Amino acid sequence: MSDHRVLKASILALPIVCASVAVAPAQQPQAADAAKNLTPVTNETLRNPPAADWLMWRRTYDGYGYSPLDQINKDNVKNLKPAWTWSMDPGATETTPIVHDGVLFLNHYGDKIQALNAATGDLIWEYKRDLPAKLMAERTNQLTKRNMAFYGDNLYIATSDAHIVALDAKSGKVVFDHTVADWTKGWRYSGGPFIANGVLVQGMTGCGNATPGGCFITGHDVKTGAELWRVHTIAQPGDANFDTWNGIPLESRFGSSAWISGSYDPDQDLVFYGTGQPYPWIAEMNGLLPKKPGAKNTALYTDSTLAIEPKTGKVKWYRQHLETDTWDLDYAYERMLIDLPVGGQTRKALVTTGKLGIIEAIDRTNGEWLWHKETIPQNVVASIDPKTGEKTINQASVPHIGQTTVNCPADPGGRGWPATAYSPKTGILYMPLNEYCSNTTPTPLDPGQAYTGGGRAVFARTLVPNSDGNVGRVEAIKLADRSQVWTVRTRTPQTGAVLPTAGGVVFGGGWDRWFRAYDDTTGKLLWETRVNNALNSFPITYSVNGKQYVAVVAGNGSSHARSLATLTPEIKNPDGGSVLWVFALPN
Amino acid sequence: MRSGTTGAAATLLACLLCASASYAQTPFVPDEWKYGKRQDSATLHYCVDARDPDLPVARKIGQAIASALLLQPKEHVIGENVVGETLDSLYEIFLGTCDVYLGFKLIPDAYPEWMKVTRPYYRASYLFTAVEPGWRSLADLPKSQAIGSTMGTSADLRLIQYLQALSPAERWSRFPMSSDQAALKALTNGTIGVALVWGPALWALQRSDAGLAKIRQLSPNPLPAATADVGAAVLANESFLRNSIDRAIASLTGDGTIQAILDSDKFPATAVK
Repeated sequence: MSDHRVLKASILALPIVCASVAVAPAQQPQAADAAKNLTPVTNETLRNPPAADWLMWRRTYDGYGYSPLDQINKDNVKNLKPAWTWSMDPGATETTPIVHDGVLFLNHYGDKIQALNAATGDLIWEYKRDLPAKLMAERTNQLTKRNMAFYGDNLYIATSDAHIVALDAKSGKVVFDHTVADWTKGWRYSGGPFIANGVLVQGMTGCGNATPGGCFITGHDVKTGAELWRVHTIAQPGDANFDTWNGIPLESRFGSSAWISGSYDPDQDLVFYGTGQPYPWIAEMNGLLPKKPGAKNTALYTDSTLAIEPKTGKVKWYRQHLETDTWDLDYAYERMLIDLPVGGQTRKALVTTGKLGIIEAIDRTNGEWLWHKETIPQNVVASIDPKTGEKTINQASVPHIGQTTVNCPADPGGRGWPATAYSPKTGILYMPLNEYCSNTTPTPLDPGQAYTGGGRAVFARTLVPNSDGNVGRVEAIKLADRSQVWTVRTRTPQTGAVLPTAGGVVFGGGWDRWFRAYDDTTGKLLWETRVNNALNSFPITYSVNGKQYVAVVAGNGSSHARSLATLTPEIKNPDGGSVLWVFALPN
Repeated sequence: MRSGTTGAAATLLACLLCASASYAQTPFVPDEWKYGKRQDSATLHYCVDARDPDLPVARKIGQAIASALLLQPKEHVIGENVVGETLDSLYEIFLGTCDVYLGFKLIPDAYPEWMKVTRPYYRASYLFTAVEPGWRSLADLPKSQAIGSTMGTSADLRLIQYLQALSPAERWSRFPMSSDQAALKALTNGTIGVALVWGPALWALQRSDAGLAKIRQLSPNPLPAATADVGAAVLANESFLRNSIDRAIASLTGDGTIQAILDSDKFPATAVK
């Protein structure tokens, strides 16, 4: 409707414009429609994507978030300049641009998708989803989407009203629009899909108290969107692990959100997906505490890695990382598939880090525990059995009704959804981290019927004890021996994902609007530039006609970043202004 | 810090002394500047919630408050066909629609700093309910059966604390229920023996669902009765409006208007004097 209004307005204005303007200055012509040259993306393409492209959330199936491009390197990154910028709709912009064959696809807050010429920023096409007014009015973080997928000739998106949509990548026309769940019941998508062995895989969130039984991960036909299988992230009746919820029935179980996309091992034909915690977070409220005599209360499959066959949805194995999570310390994030030396052997490892900031390596063939490495200050896990990975919880950190307890990190996490990244060139895991705690007071949040959140807690977030004032850290950990290679500590919270490249640089940014490039082996600051707003998204790099670009979205509105920002009140950002920044070396 | 009880205790002490506010920010609203100041100062825009069981009386109370303030009442119904919002999304509702939003329980420290609740206009109870005809109080519930409690209410939290004070052998099981409606459904289908629900919710649901007619109220014994006071929310910076509404509620309470509204619908609440 809005496009129609714009077109009409321009026609009415035309005669007046023609009468008053004698000569218009010559302008640069818009670049040719780059989308016409888009080539199909196949399973083989996704297994080995071109270096110039960024085809999925973390670029490759192994979840590394690493680019083999090296035109921009340690020596010349200091010359990086803006190549072009593009304004975006205001709101949380936690997104990952997708690039294929010189076309950049961008997902705005509120489900507007655009295809841009990746070299010039010119608009090729736009799709604007007509979301229900009531959903738009909620203005929640859920209207942002963290990733999209490209397969065949289509761009695949998950929408805020819980649909899977395929758009023709050349034109933006809808190929199919498949309803997965009823958004009026609270179902939402905030992460996006990826394609594994020709199947679209997508995780659901919003599984609060209006939707008992928990969240799920679904597999879909890439031609029609039809649902092929569904994996419930809370154990259902008949599941061998149904009786891990302290005896409470399915209608009293909530949560286990699958809100971040997954990774895929083509050799095993296995998808790896992470899950979040039970809802509400406070275990005394959700019924998992106190533990009933003789009952299990581990709450499967919350805070777990699920290994799923993409063609069938069969869960081949699972590994729970945190039992009875009562702090909102998700293990939902990227699972990296890295072969690592362990005990004199090379093991096929899966490396993930939850909100606790504990790097955990498990065997990706069977979920067997390999090792862990702590990073940020935390007081929740007192110890970890080095052989089994079993965690002993510090009981003093467990929230209790009628008390205020302290847990470090606070609920947004020592690392949140801004992704870590792994460089196979250096063997280093790069991590955007934050150090802080929470004074947690369970509170009856039953203010009326305006929302049915069902009670959670007041989280007063605070610096860690004896803090030097620095909140953020960019950390480099060599995974072969788990040594810390370097760390850069910052006052500003680290609110963006990191991007290592073969050029030897690691890009990252935070709440303070500085987008930075570090030396990947020393952490030395090589370049920085101040952008318009907080960096709270996933930077990518790509190339067009041999020229490398680095792209990142800056913007305000993300609840994650704004939560961290309360720790550094002197760093103020504008409310509005979401922008895609694209940098390149001068010609 | 990770290393055990001593470290954790030191952390607890240090951090209780250094807490910072988590509610200091107003929520992010894209293009907040587009919401200007309403010009119709002779009108009270009051909001009632379609999901709130007290909707019929809230409408009348809203009109009565407007009349007491000599303002033209303008009613807005929020929340039809949507399960709920976060508190943050209420901020935009205030900016765009409501001067005052009825139906908020007075719970200490439950609200962000950008909103305030007026003095209460009624008090209602949380009720233990059952279908078993022979039971008179909660104490009659066999230990083998469960209590289904609408999750996270102040009565639910009090129940949780009471149960934790008992030995495991003396405890009833508690099943957290997603809503009053879910709790009453579980009661009628036998999943639970007793449901702990908000009294106005039972009133509203029994009016609309004949299948719930057999549900009876029990004495809360051995627990004390749990009540909650209900008022209306306004933006914190609307102090004059809030004070005016407080005075209006006091006046309507004093002259019996509020109680008459409650009585006219046989609504299970009393005006708060």
